[in-house]
Amino acid sequence: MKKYIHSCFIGIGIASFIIVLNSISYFGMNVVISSLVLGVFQGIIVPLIYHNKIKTLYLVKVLLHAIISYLLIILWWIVGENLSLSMVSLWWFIVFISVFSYFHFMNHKDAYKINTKLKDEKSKKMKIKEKA
Amino acid sequence: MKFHKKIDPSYTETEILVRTYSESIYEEIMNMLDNSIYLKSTSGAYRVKLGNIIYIGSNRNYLEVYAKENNTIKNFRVRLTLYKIKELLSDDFIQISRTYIINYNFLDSVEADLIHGMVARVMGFKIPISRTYLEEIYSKLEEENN
Repeated sequence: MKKYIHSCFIGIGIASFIIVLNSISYFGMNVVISSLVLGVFQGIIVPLIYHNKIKTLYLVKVLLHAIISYLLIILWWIVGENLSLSMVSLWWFIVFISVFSYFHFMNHKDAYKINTKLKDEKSKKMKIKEKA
Repeated sequence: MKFHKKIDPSYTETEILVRTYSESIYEEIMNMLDNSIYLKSTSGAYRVKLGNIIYIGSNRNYLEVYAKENNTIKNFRVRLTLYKIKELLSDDFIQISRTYIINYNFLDSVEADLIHGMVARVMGFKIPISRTYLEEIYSKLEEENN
């Protein structure tokens, strides 16, 4: 199953690349290149904020991420003159909330996994104690 | 190092004599013997049993050590780095973030948290977990379950 999912993602990657190439004629070179540059910067800020030595609360890091990410979107909007700011902001909001929710869900999933293992281990220890 | 053995049935208590040239070596030997560590805090020197330490938090050059003593929880500040104290601790201790080490035996549960991302419940304390150190918890769980 994993093999098929992996192949699907490769297919999506190739299709996205073709769409990016075709969109040059539709949106113009400026918008496409600035979008790619925006993507690169949005990616770079993640390790800079979360995996660096910034000693602060996770929530503060999320807010910092949101502010920097939105500032990058504003910069990008200035380059792509013919796009509406409200539409761009709405898309940014949807993407940011989706990513945040995904990581929050992952935290829940990991916590559940660890708690199940902890419970198993405790019940095993209890059984050993009872036997003794 | 030299070892002298003297078994005499007339003794009523076991005696250990340590003859050495430095205080640090003496402390190291003592730590090995009674599974405890000798910590110099801002309020005095303490010998703390490893099994009683709940968690250790780092605050720049200081460490906040929380330990169980009878039925109370005591905390003291030690001038030591997390890296240094990690060498003195047993396998029961796991690092869960850049600034926290917890005693696995006191770990009650793990929760997802909006403010900290993930937290460990250790004897009622909420200790933030960093996702980069999550693997340490998983490997400890695997080790304990096998």
